[in-house]
Amino acid sequence: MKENKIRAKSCFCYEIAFFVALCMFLSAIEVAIPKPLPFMRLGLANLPIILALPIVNARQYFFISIMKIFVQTLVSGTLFSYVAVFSFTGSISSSTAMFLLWQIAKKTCLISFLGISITGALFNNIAQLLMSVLFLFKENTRYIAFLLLLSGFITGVLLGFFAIYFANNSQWYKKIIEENTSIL
Amino acid sequence: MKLLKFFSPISLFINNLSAKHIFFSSLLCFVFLFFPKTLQFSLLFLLIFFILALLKRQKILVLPQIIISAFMIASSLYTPVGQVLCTIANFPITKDALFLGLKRSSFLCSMVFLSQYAVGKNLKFSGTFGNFIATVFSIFSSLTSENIKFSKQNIIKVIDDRLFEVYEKQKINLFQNNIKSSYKLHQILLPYFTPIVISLIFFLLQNPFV
Repeated sequence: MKENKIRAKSCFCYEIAFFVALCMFLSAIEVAIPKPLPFMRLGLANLPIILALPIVNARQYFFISIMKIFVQTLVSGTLFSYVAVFSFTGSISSSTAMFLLWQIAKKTCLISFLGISITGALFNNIAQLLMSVLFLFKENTRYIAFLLLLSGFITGVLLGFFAIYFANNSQWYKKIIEENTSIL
Repeated sequence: MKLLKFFSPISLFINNLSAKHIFFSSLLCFVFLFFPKTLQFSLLFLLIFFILALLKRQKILVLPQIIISAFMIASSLYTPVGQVLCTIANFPITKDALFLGLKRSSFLCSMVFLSQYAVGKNLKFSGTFGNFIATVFSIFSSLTSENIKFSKQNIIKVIDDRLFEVYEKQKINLFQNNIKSSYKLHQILLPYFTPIVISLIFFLLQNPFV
């Protein structure tokens, strides 16, 4: 029991690597899904970030978020580019918002994965819009802001429903929760 | 193709270099990207990194870069600054705004080409971080090893079955091969992320697009 507590506090496990690999796998699937505009993505790669919330602690959670960006940009060859900077700020802000909301919600049970997903999507888009104001399109960002936020809200809702359905029906997720509640 | 033939000795030299050395030298080049303050130097850097990426990969996609550059130049021209060069449908094309747009877009494209040059198939990281990345790629490879046959009714079931199967198989594999499956987080993050985080801070402080 004591060993398990130490493991949970200071280490990451095989499950963390699995979540990161799942992010890669889902982003590969997402490439196959047609998009109306290049920046409008469903955000399937964020599904493991949502699903990991009840399983991992804060350090492990942010570790998954950072590694997700790292491996994605490594595979797509955009590690040293503005794409990585935008992904990094978007993902970190959405992860922080989702994690804080989860910490409040898990005690009160007032919010589901749907609310978490919408919050994450909106924070991701807001952070990227701010970066765009600072670096890319300056004040002209206002022309794409509404479209981006609207698409973020819609994809957040879709991903939220998908996360709920997946969490309720997946055998793999049930197993990973059973195994890790005994550790964490 | 003629260009590639002309540079073939350099291409051979690049392909013989260790992937890790290319990665870390590119990280250094990334910092140098911030120094040119004139358009001419920015365009020169763009040309150098484009050629390097082309020599290494033989084939690179330029259309996304052209689209984003066009958007950036158009966005820059929207706010007229400096001498009017010409007018297109009552819209003035100003010199300073055009140069600013070109400089910003050349910086962005340089970054993309540098990234494409930096990351290769044979890139392997050493130490704890390397073990972690190897585990991630091994799981990813198992997840994508066979084609998934989707149908309207069973998308989630099919994905779930694959996840369950790979999760069990890889876990047994790790234990059988006695591969370390737990590490301290700072062991992974510190050696590789410190230079990347420093570069990011540099990027944010320099604000190269101004």
